Amino acid sequence: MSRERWLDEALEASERALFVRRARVLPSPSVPDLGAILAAADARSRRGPGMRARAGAIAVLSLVTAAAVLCVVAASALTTHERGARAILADEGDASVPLGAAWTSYEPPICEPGAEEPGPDEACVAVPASLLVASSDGFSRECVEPLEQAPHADDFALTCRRDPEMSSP
Amino acid sequence: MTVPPLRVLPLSNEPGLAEAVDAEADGGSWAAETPCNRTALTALYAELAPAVHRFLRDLLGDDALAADALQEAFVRAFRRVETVPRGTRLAAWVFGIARNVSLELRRARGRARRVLVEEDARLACRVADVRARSPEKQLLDREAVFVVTRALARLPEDRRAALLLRLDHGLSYDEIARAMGWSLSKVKVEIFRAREVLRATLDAYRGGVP
Repeated sequence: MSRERWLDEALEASERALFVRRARVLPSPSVPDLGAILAAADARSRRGPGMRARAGAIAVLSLVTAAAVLCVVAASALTTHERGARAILADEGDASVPLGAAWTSYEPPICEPGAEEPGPDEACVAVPASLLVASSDGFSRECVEPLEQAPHADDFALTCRRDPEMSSP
Repeated sequence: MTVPPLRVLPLSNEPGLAEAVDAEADGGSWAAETPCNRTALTALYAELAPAVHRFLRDLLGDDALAADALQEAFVRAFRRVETVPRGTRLAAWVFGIARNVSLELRRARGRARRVLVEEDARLACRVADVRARSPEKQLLDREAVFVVTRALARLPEDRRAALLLRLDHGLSYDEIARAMGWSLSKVKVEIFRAREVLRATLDAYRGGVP
C-alpha cells in the first residue's frame, strides 16, 4: 500500500470516527412499527395490478386518439395538395396527361417555333421538345412550368400552362 | 485553492472506539451480503431504520419530515425487495431508495430548512448527561456533533448525501454511485471535496492550531 493511500485511509478513519461519535450521541429516533410498514406495502401491492390495468387502458386510449388525429391531419394534407395542384410536367405519350382536359390559353403569350421574336407583350419560354404533348384542341402544347425565357423563337418549343382549377380531369 | 492541513483527530484514546469505527466503516452488522427478500429486510429493519432515519434527517433537516420519509422508503423497499438484483447489498439499496424519497419530498415541500447546529449540540449535551459520560468524553461528543453538523450544513445536498453515505453509513464508492445515479469518478470527486470542507470546518473550530 502506498504511503499516500495509507495516509488517506487513516484520515478517513478519523473522519468516520467523528460520525460514529455523533451517531452515538444523537438520540435514537422512534422508528415506525414494522407491522404498519408491511401492511402499507401489501396494500400498495394489492392496489398495483388495478392501477397498472388502468394505466394500460389510458395508454391504449391515448394511442388510438393519436392515430385518429394523425389520420385526420394526413387526409387534410392530401386534400389540400390536390386543391393546390399546379401545372404538371408531362412527357409525350405520358398516360398521366389528361388529354381530354380543358387547357387554358397561354399566359404569358407563347411564340411558335420559327416565328419572329416575341413582341413587347410576349414572352418565349424554352422547354425541351420531348415535353411536347397534344392538347384537346389539337394544338401542340407543352404542359410545364416556364423554365426560362428564350431570346429567340427558334430556341424554344411550344408551351402551355394549365390553370390550377382545371388541372384535374 | 489551498487545502487546509490535515490532522488526525485525537479520538483513539477512547477504549473500544477503534472497533466501533471499523464496524461502522464496514457498514455495521448489515455489511454482509444477505439474500434480497422480505425476510432478510425484516431482520435488518430494527438496525437499519435508525441509520436511515439519521441519513434522512441530515438530508432534510427536519425530524418529522425524516420520519415520513423513512416510512415511505421502507414501504417501497418492502414492495420491491424481491426485484433486487443478486449481489446487491440490501442496506445500500435501501439507502438509495431513501435518497430518492428525500429528493421527492424536497421537491414536494420546497427547500427544507437546514439542520440547526445549536439544536444538535443541545441534544448531544442532554443525551451525554443521561449516559453519565465523563466530562472529557462529553466534550469530545459535543465537538463531534458540532463539527459534523456544521460541515454538513455547508455542503450542497448532493455532496452531503455522498459524504454521509461514505463516512456515516459505510457504503463503498460503487454502492454510492448506484444510489446517487452518478459515475464512479464523480462519486470520488464529490466525496473528496466534501471531506475538504469537513477538514476545513474542523480546523476552523480548533482555531487553526496544528
